[in-house]
Amino acid sequence: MKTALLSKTQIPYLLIVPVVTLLFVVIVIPEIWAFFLSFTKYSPGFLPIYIGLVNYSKILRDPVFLQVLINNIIFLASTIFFEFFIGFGTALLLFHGFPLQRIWTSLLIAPYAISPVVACVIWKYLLDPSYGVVNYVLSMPGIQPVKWFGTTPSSFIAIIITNVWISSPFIQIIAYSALISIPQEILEASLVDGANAWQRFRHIIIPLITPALLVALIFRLIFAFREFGIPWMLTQGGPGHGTEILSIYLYKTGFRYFEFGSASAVAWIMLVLTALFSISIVRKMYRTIFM
Amino acid sequence: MRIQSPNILLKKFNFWLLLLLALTWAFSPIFYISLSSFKLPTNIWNYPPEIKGPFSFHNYRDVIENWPVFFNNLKNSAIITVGTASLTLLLAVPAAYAFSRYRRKWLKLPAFFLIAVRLLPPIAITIPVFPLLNRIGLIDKHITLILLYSAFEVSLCTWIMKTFIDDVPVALEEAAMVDGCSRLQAFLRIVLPLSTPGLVAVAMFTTIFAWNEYLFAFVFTSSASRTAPITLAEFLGAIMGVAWGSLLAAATIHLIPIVILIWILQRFLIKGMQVGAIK
Repeated sequence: MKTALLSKTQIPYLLIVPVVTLLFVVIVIPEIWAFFLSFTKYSPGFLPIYIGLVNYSKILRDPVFLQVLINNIIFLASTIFFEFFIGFGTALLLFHGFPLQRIWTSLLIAPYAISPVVACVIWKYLLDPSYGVVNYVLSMPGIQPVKWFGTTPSSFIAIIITNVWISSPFIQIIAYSALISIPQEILEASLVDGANAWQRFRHIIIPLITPALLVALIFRLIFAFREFGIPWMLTQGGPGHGTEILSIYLYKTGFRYFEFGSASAVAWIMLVLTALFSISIVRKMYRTIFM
Repeated sequence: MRIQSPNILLKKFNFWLLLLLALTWAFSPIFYISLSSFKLPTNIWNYPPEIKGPFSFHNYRDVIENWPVFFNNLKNSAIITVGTASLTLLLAVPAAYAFSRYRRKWLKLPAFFLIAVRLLPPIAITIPVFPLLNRIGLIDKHITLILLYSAFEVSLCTWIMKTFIDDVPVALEEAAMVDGCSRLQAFLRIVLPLSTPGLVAVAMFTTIFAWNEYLFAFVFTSSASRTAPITLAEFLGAIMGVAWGSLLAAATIHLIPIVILIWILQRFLIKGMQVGAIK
């Protein structure tokens, strides 16, 4: 028997240490450091000065912050709704089955491969107020050209369209995987029992795929909550603060106004809010994967 | 061909119509800008918009001549992408093996840690990390982004890999070890080859993420290690007027490799996502 280089008890320890170290150094320690910074006034070139809860009270009383929070919720609700509508709908379509399915699937998930920047290039091009394809198509039934990035509501819609476009393949793939893992026997038995398509859908398909859809929903909630790239590149939060969401507010506080202390406070507010969504999924994932 | 009742034909037609609608929504934007990138700059804004105009490489020549920095950025993107994929695999695979094959009480803690950390917003660390990196001279270096990207990808990739390793029967390893292999050899010769789909899935996820990422590249690079998305964004927001011809060409260059990658390896991506969310 060869003697092992390392004792048996040491091996799992050594296998885990690299990952944990990276996560600790890159994520945990900065987050803790940000927590302490949130109680200071800190601008680049100066030392942090302890000021207690001033940052938090200023932020919570800032009318812009309230608007930003509302914008975040509107953005979140709208984008998730349409992502699910399109993603789930497409998954059902694929579940119905078509010849050359793989080709259609590749085309349908292509937006997932696109960078948010390229998505913004695409949609800025399509949504050009004077020459864009979208306004042209809308003009056919006689709708006036929409000033897409000129007003707040239309800018919001533009951001949501772009975000839904890039994110719905995620829902689609998860929903489709959930649909194809429904045991065939159950569906066939229901046919024997005389169920029509709608009954099959309501009483068999929906209950069986709901767990997976819930996981997808929470994932998307968490990711959409912190979205930065697409809104930033399309409007920078404008016009005014009309489309400014939390991540943009944080960025401006830190890298435009150079208030690193305040920005850290915003970061921790975001973190706490995200944690509220995440608790349930963290527990569920932990149970399903490691037990 | 079987004769089908008009009712069934109508239903089939409806489904194909819906598919066409879905395909148009998902793919025609990509198709359209790629096609438009081959138009002359003056034709890009033709109204009414036309699907294709006279074919020309003009925009691509413009990018090569006027934006050489873009190709440097693509090179940076490539370096960082390969670096991220490699580092993530290097960290995630051993950890996944440990979580899969060892049942120790204390492993619960790092497991929980790995899952919880994923849910922290990346933007929250830009504020504390930026001054620190500035001090130690790590702004605008490839390694910075590689470490940051790996940190945010490694958690998901570890548990994707773990699920794939779980599917490799322990009995195979044990048989090999009985025959005289060390644990490491059993891992390299049996577990790794059999869990290759997992490796591909991990590589794909990290590649897509690193190649397309915007936020960290935006904050932590300036010129030397700037990645392609940042330059594209800069040209999109150009105050002096956007050079749409070059922009469309550059955007097409950026998106083509990943779209092709997804087409060829889609089943690994799908399996990876399944595993990440369903199991």
